[in-house]
Parts: sequence; structure tokens; C-alpha cells
Amino acid sequence: MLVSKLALRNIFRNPRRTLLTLLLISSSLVAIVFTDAFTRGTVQTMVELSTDSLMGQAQIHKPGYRQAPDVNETIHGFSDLASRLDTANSIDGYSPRTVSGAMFSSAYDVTGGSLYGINPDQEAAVTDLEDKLIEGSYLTEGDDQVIIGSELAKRLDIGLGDRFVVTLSRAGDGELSQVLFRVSGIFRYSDRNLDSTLAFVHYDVMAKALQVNGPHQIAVRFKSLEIADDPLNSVWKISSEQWEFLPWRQLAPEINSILEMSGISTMIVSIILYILVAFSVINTMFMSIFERHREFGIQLALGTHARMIFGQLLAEGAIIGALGVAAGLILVTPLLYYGATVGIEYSDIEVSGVAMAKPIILQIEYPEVAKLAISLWFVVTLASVYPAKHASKLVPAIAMRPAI
Amino acid sequence: MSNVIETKSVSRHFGKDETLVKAIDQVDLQIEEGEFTAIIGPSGSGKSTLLQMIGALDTPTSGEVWLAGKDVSAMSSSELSSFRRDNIGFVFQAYNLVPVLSARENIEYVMLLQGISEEERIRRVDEILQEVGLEGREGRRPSELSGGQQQRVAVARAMVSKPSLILADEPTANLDSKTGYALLDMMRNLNEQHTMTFVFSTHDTKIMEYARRIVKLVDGKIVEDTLK
Repeated sequence: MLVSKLALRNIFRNPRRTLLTLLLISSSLVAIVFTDAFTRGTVQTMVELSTDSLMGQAQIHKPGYRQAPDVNETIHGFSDLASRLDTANSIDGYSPRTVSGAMFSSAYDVTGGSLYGINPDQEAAVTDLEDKLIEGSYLTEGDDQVIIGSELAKRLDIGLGDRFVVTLSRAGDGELSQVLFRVSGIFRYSDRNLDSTLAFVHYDVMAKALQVNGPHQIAVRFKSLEIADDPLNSVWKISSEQWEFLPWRQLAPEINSILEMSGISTMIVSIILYILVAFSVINTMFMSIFERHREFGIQLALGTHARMIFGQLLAEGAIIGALGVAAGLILVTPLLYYGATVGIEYSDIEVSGVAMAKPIILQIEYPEVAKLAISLWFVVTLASVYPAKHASKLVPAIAMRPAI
Repeated sequence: MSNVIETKSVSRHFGKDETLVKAIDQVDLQIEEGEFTAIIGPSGSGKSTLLQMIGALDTPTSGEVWLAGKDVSAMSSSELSSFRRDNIGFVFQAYNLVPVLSARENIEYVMLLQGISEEERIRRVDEILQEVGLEGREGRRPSELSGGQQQRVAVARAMVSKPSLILADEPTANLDSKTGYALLDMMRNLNEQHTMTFVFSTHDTKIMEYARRIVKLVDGKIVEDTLK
């Protein structure tokens, strides 16, 4: 009772200093919490952008295909696999694709790239290709339709309705085959690699041109991204000698690494700020203690035990820490709300090979926010141990001597 | 009458070699219960240091300090705190009140440390406020009181827990003469009514007249000990 009364009154004795200390603690918490939410949001956005694009959330191939893609290496037993995917509850959709390297030519130029054969409706259930169209329309009924990347269109100097000739090597005999398409749509992922090398045609048309009976890959979309990470999910059991199932973490290990490192970056920022706060609190408390040496001397002279002086200063630290953390949480709330609803625009900036084509929506993990807030409070309280120890060891006669 | 205070060859030195200062040098002093004793001497004679030794606020360089039959030189820091809390009241030259506490809270501070019930604390504080003439000012903080009023609060704080010994270091030094005499009158009345032992230091010759015993210090040594 006496300890808390003295602690509270002393805290508000020098309002400007207390306010500055609270500002330091609260702004540190704002920085830590925001960094955590922003890092999570950035990684989440990168993962979403990657898995929404061509990659999908998972892919199925013939074992070894990813290491050495070959038009002959189609997925065997596709109808059996398709029926299993059709009945899997956790899957939202899947898109079988034929894939081949090809030569693209127009009336003006020629360049290399990758041609994908897709079923438009199935692809739309798995990736955002349809949403990325900036001109023309998605693949419909016409067999000669092709949609190409914006950079590829620029390189070949073609537009909607123009002729687009594909030269590819057939499966089996390896003979060259040429197919004429008309550009029906142009897409842009804001990713130079995707926009300058990819073209999409109807699955059947490409399968016929390649003379293959099954797809080379199947892109899969789950009902949620977490399911793709769940090794206990039944879809994982698809993996066999015949089919190789690869979730996005294995398809894009660089993004997985960023995800794993994101926790470390928040921890580093937190540690730096914690150290800064701790030293500032120690400094502020020592300033306060030196100003109050005489008072501590009086308290000790009157019979106050050293442990009570220690407790009083520890209580001051704990109260300042609690107030600073509370102020920090209040300050960060509107910032988090804005960042979690409107998002932070990073338009078309490329991070680790992923074009940030949509705003970064802050990801708030409430248990993590609570953990960071409690940690900061603990650091502030811990930082006051050293000055409290100093004050509790004062000799009354010396502490009461007037300062020169 | 038993000795409340007994110092045996007490010395307190500061610094060393060329900078050595013997603030108190081999002082032997006995003060009996109920005495009203003044320790006098010029500035730097060691009055305050001797009071600090007697009040267990500092540790002697050598010698022993016995208070109420106990050797305080041998007590731990925690034991000293408890001993001061239960046996000694202090009045300092610079009032030395806790600035964030009101007059009432300052007065009841020691009783709070002693764990005295709220009801008893209120009763005792009301009583002593009347005795020191501070009724109606109990809610004021030290900064809202005059020097004389602050010193009255300090005297009330020293007395309210009913210690056996009250040590006052130049209690009138910062007060005008009228207030100073009034304070000494009050201290002497309390000494007579409550049989408390008062030891105060001063270098004001007029104030010395209030004491029944005068101990004169020069250069850290007792040079005169007079009973009036």
C-alpha cells in the first residue's frame, strides 16, 4: 500500500520525464508490433501472390519431372488420379496442364518461352490467370485462342487478334510441330519472367500438338493454405511411385526460407529495441534516484527497510512499463486497423522475385502481440532492478548529505 | 536511570593519508533516559557526525555505539532499520519530509512501517497535530507549508511513534528565532510530558539555554560536559 502510493506519486512528480519515458516505451512497442505484423503480412502476401499465380498451392508430377522436365514425362493414370482429387474434401480445385518449351513467333520477331495447355475453367479455380488479363478475354471455345504475357506481346510486337505461331517438339519422335494461334488475351503479373515467357492455350489443342495422353503437371488449390502445410492431410497420400505431390514450400523454397526468417527478423528488431528501452529506463531511473538521494536517506533513517526501497523502485519501473505498454497498444491499434483493412501499397515492387502486385495486409497475431507487450513490460521492470538495488544500498547518513 | 546512549571510544574518519579527516575521535559519551541534552560546538566540530553515529545512520570507523542496551555497531542493515524504526525519532535541520506525502502521511509514515492499525494511526496523528499546532494543515504537502510548519511536522513525525530517543540535528537552524524558540519550547514540553530522551545539536548560544546538559565538541572530541 505505502510502496504503491509512493511509487505512483513519484512517477507523476516529474511529468515531462515520465511522459518522455512512456513515449519511448510506447513507440518501441508500436515499432515492434508493427514490424511483426508487417513482416507476417509481407510474407503472407508473397505466399498468396506466388500460390495464386502459376505455381498453385501444390503440384503433382511424375516423379523426377521437376528436376528434368520432358514432354514425354506425362502423369500416368491421370483418370484415376483425377477421380481421387475430385473426391478429396480439402481440395478447392485442380488444373491439369501440358507444358512444353516452345518457339514463339510473330510476323515481326521470334523468341523462346513456355507454352501451357490448360482447361480454362479448371485453371480459373486454381490460379488468378483470368484476373491478370489486361486486354482481351480469357480462353473460351475457339481452339486457336492463345493468351500471352504483356512483355512477350511487346517483344513480338503483336496485339489482340494478331497471329502467334508456336513451334514445339512432339513427344515420342521429337519432330517439330507448328501451330497457329490468334492472340485473344494479354495478361500481366508484373513479373518479368512470367510476362515475357508464358503463353496459354487450350489443353486439348496442345495435347494434340504434342501427341501426349496426359498432363505434365497438375496444379492444386486447397480450401485453405494451411491444409497444404499439413502433412497429415489425406492429399499427401497421393504421393507414390507414380505421382509426386509437392506443396508450395517445396515448389518455392526461397519463399519458405523468407517465411522461416521472418520470425528471426522480428526477434532481432525486438532485441535491439528492448536493449534501447532497457538502457533508457536505467538512465532515467538513475537520474530520478540521484535527484531523490536525500529522500531515500530519510526513508532509510526513519526505519524503512532496504527491501522496501527496492520494492518501491521496482514498482515504479513496473508501473511505468505497464503504462508505456498500454499507451503503445492504444497507439498501435489504429495503425494496425488501417494496415489490416486497407493495407500498405507496395505497388509492383519486386521482393525476392515476387512482384508485390497487391497491398500488404498486416497480419495481426494477437497471442504474439500479447507476448511482445508482456516481454517489453518485463524488460522495463527488469531494467529497474539495477537502479533499485543501488538505491536500496544507500547509507542513510551519506544519502542525506546535501549535494554540492 | 539507565543509559539510553553509550558510545565507547567512537571514531569516524573520512578520507585517508593527507586527506584524512577525524570527524569524531575517540568519543565516550553516556546519556541517560529522559535527558534533554544539547551537543554544541562550532561548524565542523563533529556534532552532526556524532548524532549520525548515535542514530545508527552511519557506521563508526572504530568503537562501539550502544543504544538501549544494544550494540548497534554489530547489527545488520536490516536490524538497524528495525531498530531505528522502533526506537529513534529524527528531526533534521533541513526538515527532510517526504515531498510526495502530505503532512498527515509524513507523520504516520513510521507507524505504517510499524504496522499500526489505521484507527490507531488516525487517533495518534490527530492528537499530535493538535500538540504541534498544525490542525487544518494535515492535507498539505511540505511544499505548501512554511519552514516552521515543516519542522513541526518533522517533530510530530519523530514523536508520534513514541520512540525512546529523539535526535535533532540543528532543528532551529533554518527557522527565525521566534519560531525556533517556540519549537524548542514544544520539544521541551514533550520531553517533560512523555519522558522522551532528547539529544539535539546546535551552535546557537541562546538555544543552548534550553538544555539541561551541554556537551561541547571541538575537532571531534568532547572538551566540556556540563549539567545545568
